[in-house]
Amino acid sequence: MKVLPSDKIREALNILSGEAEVYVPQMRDDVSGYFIWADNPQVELALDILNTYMSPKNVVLPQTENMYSFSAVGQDANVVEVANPQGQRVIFGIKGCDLKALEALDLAFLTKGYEDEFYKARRQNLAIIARACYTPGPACFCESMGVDRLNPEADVVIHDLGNQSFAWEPKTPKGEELTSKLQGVLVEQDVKLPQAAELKRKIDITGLSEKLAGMFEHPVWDELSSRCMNCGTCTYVCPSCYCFDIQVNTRGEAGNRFRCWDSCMYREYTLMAGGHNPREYKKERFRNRFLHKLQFFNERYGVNLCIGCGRCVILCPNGVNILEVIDKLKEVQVDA
Amino acid sequence: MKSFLKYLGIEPERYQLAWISGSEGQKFADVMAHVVAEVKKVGPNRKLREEHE
Amino acid sequence: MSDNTMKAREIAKKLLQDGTVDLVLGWEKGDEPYVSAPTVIRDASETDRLVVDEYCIHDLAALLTDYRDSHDKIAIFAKGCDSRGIVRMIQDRVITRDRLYIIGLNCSGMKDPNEYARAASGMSKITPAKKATKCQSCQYPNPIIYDEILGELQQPGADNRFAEIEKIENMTPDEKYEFFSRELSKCIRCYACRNACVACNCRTCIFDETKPQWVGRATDTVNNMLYHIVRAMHVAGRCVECGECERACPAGVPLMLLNRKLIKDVDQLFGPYQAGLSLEGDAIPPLSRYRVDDPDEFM
Repeated sequence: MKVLPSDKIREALNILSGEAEVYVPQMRDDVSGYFIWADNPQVELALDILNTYMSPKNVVLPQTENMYSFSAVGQDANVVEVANPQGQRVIFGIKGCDLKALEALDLAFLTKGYEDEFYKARRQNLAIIARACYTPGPACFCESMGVDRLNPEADVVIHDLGNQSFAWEPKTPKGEELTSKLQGVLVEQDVKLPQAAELKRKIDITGLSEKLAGMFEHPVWDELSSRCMNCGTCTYVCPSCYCFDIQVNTRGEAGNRFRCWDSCMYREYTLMAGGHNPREYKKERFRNRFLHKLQFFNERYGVNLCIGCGRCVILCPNGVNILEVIDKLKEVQVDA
Repeated sequence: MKSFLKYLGIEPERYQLAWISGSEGQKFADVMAHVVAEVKKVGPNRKLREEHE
Repeated sequence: MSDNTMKAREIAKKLLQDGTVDLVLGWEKGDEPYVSAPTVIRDASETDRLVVDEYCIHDLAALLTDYRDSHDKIAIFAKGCDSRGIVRMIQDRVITRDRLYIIGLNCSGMKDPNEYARAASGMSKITPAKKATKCQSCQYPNPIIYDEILGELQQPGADNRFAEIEKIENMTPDEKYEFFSRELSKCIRCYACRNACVACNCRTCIFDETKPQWVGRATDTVNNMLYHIVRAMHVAGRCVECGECERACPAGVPLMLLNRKLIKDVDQLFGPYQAGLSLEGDAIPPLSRYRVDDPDEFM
């Protein structure tokens, strides 16, 4: 099998960067995320940790994305469309969980009769080099959410052989293309793939979506939401949260319109022009988030929106745990 | 506020506070001239600026 | 099970049984040893969920805003920093003292559960510290207000709260700006700092206003800096230095470097004054009241 040796990774990334924007897990101070590769010896790669804090959704849905700029020209408005990324892009090292989230984002942005052109531009030329996951963490429950962590569907699947060398398996014609670009650094080797450790957590969500359909007014939401402080950390680190806002920056007679991440955890997310707010209180916003993840998305698209990466569990400052929430929701009685 | 902005690296000459009554026209003119002179000495500001393409 | 946990459960049970309170705000274990998450208990039979251990870092006072409009009587566990948070809530009229039964905890410092979670998850290679960052220069380990107290009286450690601040004050303006724009550009504008803060208790926060929008939502350096400058100024003089903002931040922004600078300035200009230490009438935050002898160098 082909292998990408650990001491050739930076070279491989440089080669790929020659013709594409390559997104790789890297450290930025103490925060890990998927950033564009630019061979900077001071930047640390983050391929040896379980996963990045910041999910790879910024590759297709940047935190702030310019849509168009405008300026006043006499009585007219001059609108300049921002050129969407045209070239090739590669994401290196995405795990099965995050890849599943990407598939969910595709459903939200490209189906049901509307194609989001900004999302599409970033997504269509994106080659995916996915990383099989052999050593899941204590908060991981991806398999319960339908994720194939050992054989993710990608252009290339890489396997960490334990010493930061990766077995390299092209799966599609695009993958073969990438492989041939790297023929100078990939070596042919006998490979023994690592033993996959079991996931510590399994949770059965069969029937949960249907049960939740009758639980909107259930009092359990008061209890579940009590420790949440609506800070929004979960929504920002979640690979499948995609709520956004569209805002304007105006300075005098020119400006630009941009899209930015928003969070259903914020009070002003559903604040309407007349002052009415259907989700005025914490409980309502908390309930909305979990129903979106576990019921609404399922009803609309047939797949879960939560993909079991565990980031929200690890990073919530107040100990909100989606697994505990699911357990409680499964446990409570629903009056007919 | 002034101390805080100074702490963040904004030169103190750029943010000045003065209490001037509406009837103290001369004082207003003097203070304005003084502030402008001080800011000119510090030079153009490159901080806390939004860069537009 | 620790002594404090047992006592906490007994106290809570009695308070609920005899109707002194309608609910108890405390901590309960999650499914990992390092999780002791905030919880609300209304039933005396459930008080065995309560726990008091070295992971009980969350400031329960921040949850009092959920009860500002109700009439519930609330029992609340409070460490030193939390008790100052409660004073903040009372002074800002979020809740009245007579609605609270405060169970104080003399605190020797907590561990940061998120550091443990990150290390255990494999997402971080950083070894968790023995004491959470916010606890390291704590000057008020013992609650300054309580109806009952648990634990032994603690001695505060060395007061080096302003060491970092002074180091920054000695930098050149460009160095300072470079430092802060780098640190504040990490901000992802999740508003966790605002939501975790006991002093941020406005019904409608300035950052939720859209007409006009005071600070843009884009996460570029300038907008981020403006957000933090405005928030720091809004809590100036009222910040009780509990450190929850910095702890809640998922991006590692060193918020206490901003808040402590203002604490130092307010203390020097309007003080001596530290917020949240007393409910006496004259202990109102200096920026919330006017005195004839307030500094006025701009006059």
